[in-house]
Amino acid sequence: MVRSGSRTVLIDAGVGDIQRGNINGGQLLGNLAAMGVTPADIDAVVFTHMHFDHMGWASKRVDATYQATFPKASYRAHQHELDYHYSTVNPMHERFAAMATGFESRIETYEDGEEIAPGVTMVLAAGHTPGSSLVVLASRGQRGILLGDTMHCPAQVQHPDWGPMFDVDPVAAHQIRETLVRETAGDTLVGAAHFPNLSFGRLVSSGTTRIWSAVRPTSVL
Amino acid sequence: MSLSPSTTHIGDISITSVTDGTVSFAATTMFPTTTEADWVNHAQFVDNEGNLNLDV
Repeated sequence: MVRSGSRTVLIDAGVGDIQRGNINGGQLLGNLAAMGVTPADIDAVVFTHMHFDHMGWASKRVDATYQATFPKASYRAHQHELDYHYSTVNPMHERFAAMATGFESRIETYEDGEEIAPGVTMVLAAGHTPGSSLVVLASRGQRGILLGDTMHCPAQVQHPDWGPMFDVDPVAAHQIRETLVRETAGDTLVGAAHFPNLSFGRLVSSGTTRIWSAVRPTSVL
Repeated sequence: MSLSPSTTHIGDISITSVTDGTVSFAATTMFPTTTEADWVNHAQFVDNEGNLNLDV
């Protein structure tokens, strides 16, 4: 969750209330509540991309229909992402379309380079999916970047050629990782949705390669 | 495991990590070009059964 200016923005929406097989979700709303944040406090839900584990709470099924979980929020995604997930190329397009009925009237697309809140800019990084985007944060001379699913494991910092089975365009996704590892400055704070403990860190040099170095959060609630 | 939300600041922007849980995959399934030997040097990221437990 990102707060900037008067805006409270949820970056991606978890896997949802699912506990089966290899999925153990269902904690997002409770963890927000523990912070004093209700669904109505969220101004925008911004999708780095729209795989199921990033939009699980976007809508919830009530009887036979889906309803937006965040009643006052706009839902933001790149147009390329919407085009892909609605298309039959996406093997889960029917499920996506059903869930999207709960929020599609609220969708506002973002453009590559668009500032969605003060100092919070979306940057298209297609590969994992056609509309996958990074979230670039800049304020008072400091800089950060939220990776979305351009990387899934810290080991990929050292091995950007390691691609996950979910990359829609493996070649482009690999190029994105190579660029991130090569060009992300060492003082840039990096956040990754799937890294252990949702941790923040930096990409630091180690010999001839770069590695992930986790940093302590400013505060733990 | 439920993680306590933690907050980091970048200038005037606050970023709070709020978990929804985990999704698990065998590391060599998640990354099909890798072998179990590849993960020996990254053992801190896999559990005893060779699974990556990805936060979501």
